[in-house]
Amino acid sequence: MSDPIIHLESIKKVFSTDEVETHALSEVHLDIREGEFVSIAGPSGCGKSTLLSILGLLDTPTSGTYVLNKQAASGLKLSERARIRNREIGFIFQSFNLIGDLTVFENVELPLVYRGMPAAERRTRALNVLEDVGMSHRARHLPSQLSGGQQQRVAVARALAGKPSILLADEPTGNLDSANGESVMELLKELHRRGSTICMVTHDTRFAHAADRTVHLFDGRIVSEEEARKQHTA
Amino acid sequence: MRPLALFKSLLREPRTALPALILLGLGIGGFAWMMALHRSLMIRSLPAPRPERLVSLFNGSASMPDKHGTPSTGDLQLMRGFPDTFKGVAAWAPTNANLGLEVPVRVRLDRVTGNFFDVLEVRPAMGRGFHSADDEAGAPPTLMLSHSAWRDRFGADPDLVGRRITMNGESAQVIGILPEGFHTAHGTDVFRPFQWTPEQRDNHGPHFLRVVARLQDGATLAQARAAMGQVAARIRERFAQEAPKELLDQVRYDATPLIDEVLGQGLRVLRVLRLATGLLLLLAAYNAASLLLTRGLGRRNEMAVRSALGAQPADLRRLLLMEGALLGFIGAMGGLLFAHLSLSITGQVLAWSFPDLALGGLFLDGPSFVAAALLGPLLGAVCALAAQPGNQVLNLLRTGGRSPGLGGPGRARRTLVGAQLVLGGTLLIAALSLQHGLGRLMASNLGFDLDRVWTFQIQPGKGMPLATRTQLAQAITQRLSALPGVQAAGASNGLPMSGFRSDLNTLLPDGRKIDPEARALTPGMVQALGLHLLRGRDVESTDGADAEKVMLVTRTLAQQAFGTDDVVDQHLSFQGQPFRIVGLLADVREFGPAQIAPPIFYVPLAQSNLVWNQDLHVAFRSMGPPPTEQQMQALLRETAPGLALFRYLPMRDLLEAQLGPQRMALAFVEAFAGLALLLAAGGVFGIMAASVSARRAEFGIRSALGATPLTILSQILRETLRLASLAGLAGVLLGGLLERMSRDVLGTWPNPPFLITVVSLAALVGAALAAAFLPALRAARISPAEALRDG
Repeated sequence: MSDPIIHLESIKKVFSTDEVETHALSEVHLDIREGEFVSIAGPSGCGKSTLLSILGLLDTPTSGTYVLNKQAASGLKLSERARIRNREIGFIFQSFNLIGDLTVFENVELPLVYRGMPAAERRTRALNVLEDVGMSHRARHLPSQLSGGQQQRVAVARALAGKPSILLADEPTGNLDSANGESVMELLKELHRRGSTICMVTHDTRFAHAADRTVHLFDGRIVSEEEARKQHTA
Repeated sequence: MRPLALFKSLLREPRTALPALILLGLGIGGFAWMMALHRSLMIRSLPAPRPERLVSLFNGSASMPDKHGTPSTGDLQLMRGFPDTFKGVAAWAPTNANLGLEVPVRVRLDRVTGNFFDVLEVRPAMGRGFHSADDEAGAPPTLMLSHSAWRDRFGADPDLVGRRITMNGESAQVIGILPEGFHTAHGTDVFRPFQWTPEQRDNHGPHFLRVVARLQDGATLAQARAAMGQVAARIRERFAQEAPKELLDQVRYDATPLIDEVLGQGLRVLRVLRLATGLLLLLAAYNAASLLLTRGLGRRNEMAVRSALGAQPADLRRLLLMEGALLGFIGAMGGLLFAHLSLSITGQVLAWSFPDLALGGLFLDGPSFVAAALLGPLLGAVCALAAQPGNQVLNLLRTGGRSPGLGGPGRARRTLVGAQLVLGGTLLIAALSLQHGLGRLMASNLGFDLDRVWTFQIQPGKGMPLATRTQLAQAITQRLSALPGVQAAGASNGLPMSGFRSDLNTLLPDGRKIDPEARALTPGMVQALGLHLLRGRDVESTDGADAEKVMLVTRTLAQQAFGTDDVVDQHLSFQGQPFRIVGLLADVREFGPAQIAPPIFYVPLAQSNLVWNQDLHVAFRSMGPPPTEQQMQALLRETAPGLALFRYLPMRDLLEAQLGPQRMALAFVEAFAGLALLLAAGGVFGIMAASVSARRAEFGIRSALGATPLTILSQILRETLRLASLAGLAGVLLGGLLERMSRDVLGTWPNPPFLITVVSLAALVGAALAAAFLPALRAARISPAEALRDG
């Protein structure tokens, strides 16, 4: 079996506000291997998004070890974290988070701009991924001119543009109606079939089961892991 | 909400509250400054009851509508023939006099008609005013003193009224002291009735009067102008047989509010300043509202919670309104302090620019203070309400009409802030160009040498015969020449930049008419002033009254009259007599460095055969320290007893005084450029702070996609750089438009040198980048996880 792309060991996250300490994550152990599609499920406030933020290097754990693609994340400078996010991780958000002032094409090429890629290469890459998600015909449109489902497709294209090691999706169907939700899930499944590693946070059990493995969180702890048609108790 | 709680609430967001406070303070301070300056100039320029009912009556020529002439005594009698329009018509003529104290003092004397103070409705503080009997020819001479002359010249002697004092060697009785608040624009010390004879009273010859009239109750300026139209008709009728019709057709009499006449050019400056401070207030309010909007965006959650807890929209508005009012009040207090300091500086600038302007100190008066103190809270409240995040107008400005969300600052806001940067850049270029131009003027070749030259005036009066005047001038210059270190001394009827104009027409042998300046001088004056003799010789002591008539001419006159510099031994006719040209002088910028050199001729004082004005100007060049004022007074006591020493100063000071309007323009442009730059920086700070708040999620996404803190910081600074560069370039282009505006001030417009343009642009861009740095830093420090979580 190959080395995991993501390795979490004894991850703990505590938020301190005034005199109150909130334990968002406690003793989380998780490995995600290349090509795997893992969904993280659980009720609101269980720590799903916090876990995804840590996985995406958007936040740092209070304690524990995080290794991403054989590189320890602790002690990284802000600029190093940004560089890793840019090269290794693709984000898909619940509320799409496209930048309203930029066109669809500009949104998709943005991670490549931060990578310092030449314009011609950026253009080819961005148009290709837009083609992949069926949105190349809307390249010159602004996000406000697209439907929710279309915006999320563009967001997926943006996440894929940098050819990341892993895609992190935070409730990617949360703001979509069921038809568009299904469509986006089909897209993710298709990406998975083509070899992408995906970690998706969702509380929708229908979509959680689309993954190879579902990790259940409760009160900041992993309470169970469920593989497709097979369940283990943690 | 209690004031302390409100205050604490303000402090919760000091990043936006403090700049908003400063901007409101600047705007309100500018308003208070303008109001106090306006009131000071209006009230002090015309310290009489109901000044708006006073009009100035003048004559002129239809071909020169802007030039207001001085009527004759005959005109005055005609102007008095409209009792339905004018309650009273009075006249005055400003002059100077020697006040006979232990050390004679030169004072400003106004000759006035007996009804002068009745028309102004000014009553004396002590003694009585003039009666009509005081103004009769042959009546015992009487005087009224200004309060400052009574205080400064007579130590506020309470027994002065009724006593006799000496004025120009003649004894006159002091009958009254004017109230402290009354003074004329030119700082008159003493008033004395004309005492015309019946012949003088109806004379249409000399035109020397300034005429003031008080409108009858209910009468209008239009009626006054119509009355002056009738005066013009009567003049045409009266002189129909004596003067050519073309000349009579040009005759014009008119009326204008006296305040316009008194303030003259100052009125235009005031209007421009009023507009500028109004603009300043608007921009400050806009930028403050912009910052409060940013503040509001940061408090959306707090407001949502308050709403959820049952607060009505009116309750939330009241909270914002009270916070805004408190912010405005604190800003107003700071602004009043700013206005107080600015007024003090303005007073110094005005005194420096116009030493003869009797304005006194400027201060923040009661009405201006109260108006500004009330405006502060009102403006703060309006800004706070306008800046509510739900406000449609500002939302439109914020988003530029696009859907809100992750968009940047709206195009409308960028345009407004860009316009402020354009204004700041234009004014900055103008200020630096004016400074450059002023330096060039100071260093320009004037045709004479300013350094180590001292001058003073005495006033022998027109009554002194020419021979006596010549002897007096010779006696003074001989004594001066004998002083250690003095290289040369001379006297003349007018010095360069002293304001004297001779207004003479000279007919050339070929029949052409030219309009040269004529000066009469003693031997030694050419050397004392350092005039450059190009050909021939200087005037000498042998060029006496009975010797051959000789003159010196400047190169411009030589060229105009003869078309060559080879003019020595040529003749020019003056006062019907031929004068032989004995010397050619380099051109002299007689009316200041900004004016072109006029054609001038110089004749020996002894041969001038005409006393042109009352004054005699003395100049001497000294290698050592000049005599003190006391030493000079002692010298005059021996050579010219009874004559006061006046304006004893270095020649360079005359140049400085000449550049007064330019200096004032420069001071105001510099001040407004600084303020405009500060406001523009405030605007940039506001727009970038609002932008960072509104785009928090966007920066979170950018960060998630791999943007480093440095990338985000440089992104904001790049946006600012683009805005500031575009605005700066527009400012440079607009600077060209200032050419026309500045011609009046500088005579010629100094094209902004390349370096100045570059420095201005750099300063503008630097200010904008500095203002954007803090918001940019905040954007760079946004935690992506928090930003994405908060949406």
